[in-house]
Amino acid sequence: MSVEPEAEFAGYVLDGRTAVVRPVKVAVRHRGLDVVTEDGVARAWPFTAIRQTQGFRAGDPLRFEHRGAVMETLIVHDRAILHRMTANGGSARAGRRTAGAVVVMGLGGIVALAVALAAVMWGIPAASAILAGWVPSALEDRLGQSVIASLPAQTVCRDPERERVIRGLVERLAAARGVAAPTVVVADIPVINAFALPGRRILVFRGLVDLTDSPEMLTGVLAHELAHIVRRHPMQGVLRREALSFVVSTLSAGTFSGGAAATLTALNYSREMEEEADRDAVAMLKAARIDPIGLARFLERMNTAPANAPASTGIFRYLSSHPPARSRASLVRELAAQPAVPPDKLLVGYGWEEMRELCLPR
Amino acid sequence: MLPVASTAPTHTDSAFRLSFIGRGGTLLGIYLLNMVGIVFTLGVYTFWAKVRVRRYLFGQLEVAEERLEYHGLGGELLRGALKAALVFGLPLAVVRTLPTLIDIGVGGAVVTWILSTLFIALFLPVARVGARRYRLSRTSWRGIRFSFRGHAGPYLRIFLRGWCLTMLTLGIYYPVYAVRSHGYLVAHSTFGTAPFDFDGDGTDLLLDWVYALLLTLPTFGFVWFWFGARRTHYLWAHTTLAGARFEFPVTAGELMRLRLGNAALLLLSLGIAYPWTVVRNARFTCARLSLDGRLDVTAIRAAATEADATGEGILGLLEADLDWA
Repeated sequence: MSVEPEAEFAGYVLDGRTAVVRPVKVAVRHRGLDVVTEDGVARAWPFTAIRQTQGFRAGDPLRFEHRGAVMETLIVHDRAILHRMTANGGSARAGRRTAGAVVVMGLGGIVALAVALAAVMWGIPAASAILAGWVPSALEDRLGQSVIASLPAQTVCRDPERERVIRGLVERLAAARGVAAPTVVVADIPVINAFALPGRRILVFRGLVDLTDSPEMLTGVLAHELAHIVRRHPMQGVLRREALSFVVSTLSAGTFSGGAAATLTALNYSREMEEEADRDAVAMLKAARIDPIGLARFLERMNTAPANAPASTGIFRYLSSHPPARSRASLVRELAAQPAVPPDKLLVGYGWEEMRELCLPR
Repeated sequence: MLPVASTAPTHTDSAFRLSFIGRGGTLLGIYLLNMVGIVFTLGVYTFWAKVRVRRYLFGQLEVAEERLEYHGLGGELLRGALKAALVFGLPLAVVRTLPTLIDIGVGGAVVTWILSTLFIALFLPVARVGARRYRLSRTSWRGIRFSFRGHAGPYLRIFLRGWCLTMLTLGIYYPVYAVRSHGYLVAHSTFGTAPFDFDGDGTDLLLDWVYALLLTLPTFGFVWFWFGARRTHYLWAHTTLAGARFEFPVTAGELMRLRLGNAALLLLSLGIAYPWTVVRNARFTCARLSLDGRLDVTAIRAAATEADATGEGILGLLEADLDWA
């Protein structure tokens, strides 16, 4: 590096002990500044002890801190001093980030994003699967209760006679699996869906009941949801949602709560979870001597229902966390056949069409 | 050879004037870069982002031709936030989530609510004192640091007494409490060896406060611009620095134009104009605030005090953290 001729600049110094302004002359030397006060006393400020703290924008005075026993400050208005300092081995941008620091920050950011992505894709599901087993059942029960309580009172279908029929079906399944029977709540919502909730609760929408034409079809769906409960998938979903909310909120510095995105992922179990639940459901139905083909028929019917058809075609097939209903139905038929167990006919003599009146006003 | 002192400030000590040189566009750029940094570091950069904003705002504020300087560091704020989370955030989170974890009944829920409210009520004044101590200790003018020498105990007493009397008097006492609380913070602040003082007690504002309460509906709330101007003028007129008194002449109309202008800017820009509202507020204050009277700057010596950022961290958990405060 070539050393430029010495140059002098006018400035003033704040000594850090008093509020008095002391005018000085500043000479830029090789590897340092010479600061000369009015009485002619010169002091050397090596570049290594100087840090620029202000004056990074045009028009702002340049401010340099000199670290010694007391922090002294030099203020210079002429920005040409920066060029002189650089030419004489000083850092004109002292105190600012160097290009290296920016690269490190950028790489750190990419690594942090990769870590966050890995946490969302694998870490959170794995951790929530472990933690779900530790959640006290009282807390799980309160969570499920709060979901049911959030439904408008008039939405919950009340029909003691038909509710007793459904309870009989789910108790038969639970007994076969050796677990306590969950509570089934039917909501007057014309959507084909059902959810397993924390706290051993199953929420079934009226649209789903309307789609069934036999007790075996509804029992197949209940078996699938009971399988989710046995594997504690609902609690895992809640934990996943909370963790994802935290990550989204952190990533966006609190701008987004992560609510919508997190809720979507919590309501949708992974494809693996759905397949596990289908396999468990078939085993449960066989153990209860109920025909698993009812579940297969339900899935086939759901696949052709207008509101659900697009979810299994085109891009939706890849976006959906559920495996396509058609392939799920094939899997259920395959599992039902190996080995086939002769089923009992459910609710002989009961007119299943009456079940569609479950939500009629009484 | 250049003449010495050609760039040194040339003010007279009898009238300290303020000016704010900052620009909304530059501040917006800082906010945007901060946002990128925060996202890329999963939020950890928040503390350094806060420092960048403060450095810019303080560095653009000139008092008698000399700029203020902010010396805080992101690492200090991060350590303060971690300590705050440990001593305040964690216990509060436990008390708050207890009712959802175990069935403690309505009585238990009420008890935990009272406990968490008391916990916040105790920590809020402690946090305000701590935050003021930290912020002043990291602010300098002419190389001399500001400092705060008050303590949490007396401030807590003002806070608890103030809230009790405010509730008992159905809100009438509030301006007295607010002024005394402000007065304690001001009267225990210093600039080097030069002490700030506050000689108001708030009772002078009681009648104005009652007028404002009574006239809220008939004036559609516009009376609060009048009260705001009265209060701001009162607070500054009772503040002194080493005997020199501050002045802040402001009218209700001026305050209304500032506030409504800011609100319109924010609404029309969907919030993007926020940095410009910060600049407008700063220029508004600088254009009016002055220190009148003899202040012997040469007699002021450095007298820095130590402070950490725990109070600042607690305040960050409790209330909106203002860049300026």
